Amino acid sequence: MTRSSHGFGHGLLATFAMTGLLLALLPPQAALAVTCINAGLGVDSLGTDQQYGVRIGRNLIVNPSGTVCSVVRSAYIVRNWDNFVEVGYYEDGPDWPPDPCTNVTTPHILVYAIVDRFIKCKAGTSGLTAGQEYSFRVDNPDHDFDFVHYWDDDTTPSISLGFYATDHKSGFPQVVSERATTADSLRGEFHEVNSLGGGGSWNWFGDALSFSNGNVGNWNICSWGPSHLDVRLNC
Amino acid sequence: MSLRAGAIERQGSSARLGAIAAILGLAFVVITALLIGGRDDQNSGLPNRGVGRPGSPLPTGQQVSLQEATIRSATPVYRPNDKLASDSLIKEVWLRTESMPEIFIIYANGLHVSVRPGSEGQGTKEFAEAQIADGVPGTIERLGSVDAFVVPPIEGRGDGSVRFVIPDAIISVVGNGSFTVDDLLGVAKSVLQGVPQAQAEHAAASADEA
Repeated sequence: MTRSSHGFGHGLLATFAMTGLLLALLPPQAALAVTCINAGLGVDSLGTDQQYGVRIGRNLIVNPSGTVCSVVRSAYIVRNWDNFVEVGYYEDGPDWPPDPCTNVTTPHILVYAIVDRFIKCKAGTSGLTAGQEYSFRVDNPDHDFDFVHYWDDDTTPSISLGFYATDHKSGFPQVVSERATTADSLRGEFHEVNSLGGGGSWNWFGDALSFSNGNVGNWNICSWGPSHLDVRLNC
Repeated sequence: MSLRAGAIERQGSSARLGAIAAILGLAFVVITALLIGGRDDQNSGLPNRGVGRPGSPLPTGQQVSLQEATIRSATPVYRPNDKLASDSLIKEVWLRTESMPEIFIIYANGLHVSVRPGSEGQGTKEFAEAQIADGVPGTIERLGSVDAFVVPPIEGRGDGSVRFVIPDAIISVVGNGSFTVDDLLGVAKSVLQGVPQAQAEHAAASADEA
């Protein structure tokens, strides 16, 4: 080892020492502060046919062990970015900004719609139990412009959560596991996923278009067979 | 950095080299920590519960050029020609031609304009009544020769929009929260003023295709 490399080694040692000192002095959240993004990072499965509703027969309430921003496990019918209806559950963390749905730090039912980028959502919905499965659906069987949201604690979502008036009669069904920061989990499990066709029958909408939005790390959306989607690190 | 270190080494000052390495290393750590802390700070607008960004802004649609949209769309590509939104400010054009046909134009400043056949939605009065009943704080305003449903931007709740209907299309001008109602109405008025031109373009494109 040359003399100069000794000096460089001392420099590295000094760097590590100063780094340790810096990290020790900074509060943990200052060093690893997370800013929640408004558009979710998620994995999605999108149906390619125009449909009038979507449902999840069994949506597992995963316990993300301390959500930092906000997590959503849901299904929706989407016309475009600015117009969709959505149902499922959500949980917020301390870094999520106030919003019209009211912030909840345990899993709660999500009833949501956007019409020309105006948010409609229900506050004060029921809390859900982590580790349990619940069913959800949102549909427009009358082919008008009103989508009705439902949930239940068994596999048939039949408890109405009311309706929202939209600017579309139908749209493209989608199931999504979403987070607003990479600090949160994307784990999700969706069984008995179906969509409502124009003829009135519920069928698997297929997983022809599965994709990721943003940085989802190694999370994947796995299709285990008809109507079963699973979001995990490895399929 | 390596050139600088080499010069220092030639001077035989290993201690100085070490000090510089320490400073650079510390700077690296601080910058990295700042980047990690701020890496997700990339959006503005509404808190978005749903993804709302299903791969493309128009599920099953395709990103196309403005010219291609004019040729392939069944509806004329009605669009604004305003200081806030004109062809030169278009960032992306999306087109869905099969089920639920729609054109979705994204402008560089965050404005969106969507155009759908008239058969796809309600008239302004019916739409406005249903939205107001749902709690949307919109009003019906006169926009040239047509009525429009106007929703102001409300922080955390809505980005602002103007929606109106012409004989063969439903058109929405949607903001991103930073545009005033007057801005949105100005853009919408310019869409109306451009209707004859868009129809002429569409007729010409159809004739060329034939």
